[in-house]
Amino acid sequence: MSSLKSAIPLHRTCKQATHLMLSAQDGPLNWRDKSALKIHLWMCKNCPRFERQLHVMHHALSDWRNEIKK
Amino acid sequence: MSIVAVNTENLTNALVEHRTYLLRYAKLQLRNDAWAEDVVSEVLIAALEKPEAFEGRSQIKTWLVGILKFKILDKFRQNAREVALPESDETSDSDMLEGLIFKADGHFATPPTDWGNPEAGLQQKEFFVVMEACMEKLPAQLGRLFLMREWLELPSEDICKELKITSTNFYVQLHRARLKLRECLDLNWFGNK
Repeated sequence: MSSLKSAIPLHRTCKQATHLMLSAQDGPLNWRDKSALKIHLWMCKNCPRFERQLHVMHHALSDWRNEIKK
Repeated sequence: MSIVAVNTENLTNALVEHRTYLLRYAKLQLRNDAWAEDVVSEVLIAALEKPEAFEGRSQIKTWLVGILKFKILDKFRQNAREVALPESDETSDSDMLEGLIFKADGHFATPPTDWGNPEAGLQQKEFFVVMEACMEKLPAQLGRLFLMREWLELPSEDICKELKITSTNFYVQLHRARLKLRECLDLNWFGNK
């Protein structure tokens, strides 16, 4: 049982999750990282806020780009 | 004949008006005032030389910014040696995160705050002013890299080539820039001091 657990390392620390959230800004994650991140976000209080902030920044930057073009 | 002359005069007037923001974006991206002045002059000259290229386009700003981006890339290439990032110590993303927002035990140094749902508010001019100021505050090389990505929208391979860095280092630097921008917005817009 314990060997099975270690074979599927779905538990991630906030630091690992942050690395994944930042990487996801620049391209899709593989399925394993994606699932691990999803699970971490369900359990964590801080990381969903961080993810939300990245999301807000992403949209802000795209609005800014469009504003310059106008 | 007279129609052409009037158009050229209109264009010249328009260009004078547009110079201010062209210079602002050039400085933001190039991080070198002399290069920025050069590049903007080149844009204005190119526009004056080919006013017919503007014909039929509804937005003069779109046209000029398009030329500006092109000239900026030329400028980077002319100054490739200066623009290249120094050999890095190959900091990993993990080390970088630890220095910037995590404590050694893997916990957030300061837990992220709730930014709410600010989408509508973020289209205000005031917000863009703050965001540009935050980008300007990035160290020069980090700022160049970040704007190549977020403003010039270059593919990562091209940015690595321009800055002569590995793709690993590129992502570490890009993530660092995003974290710094986030921190600056948090302090100066979302008001979490």
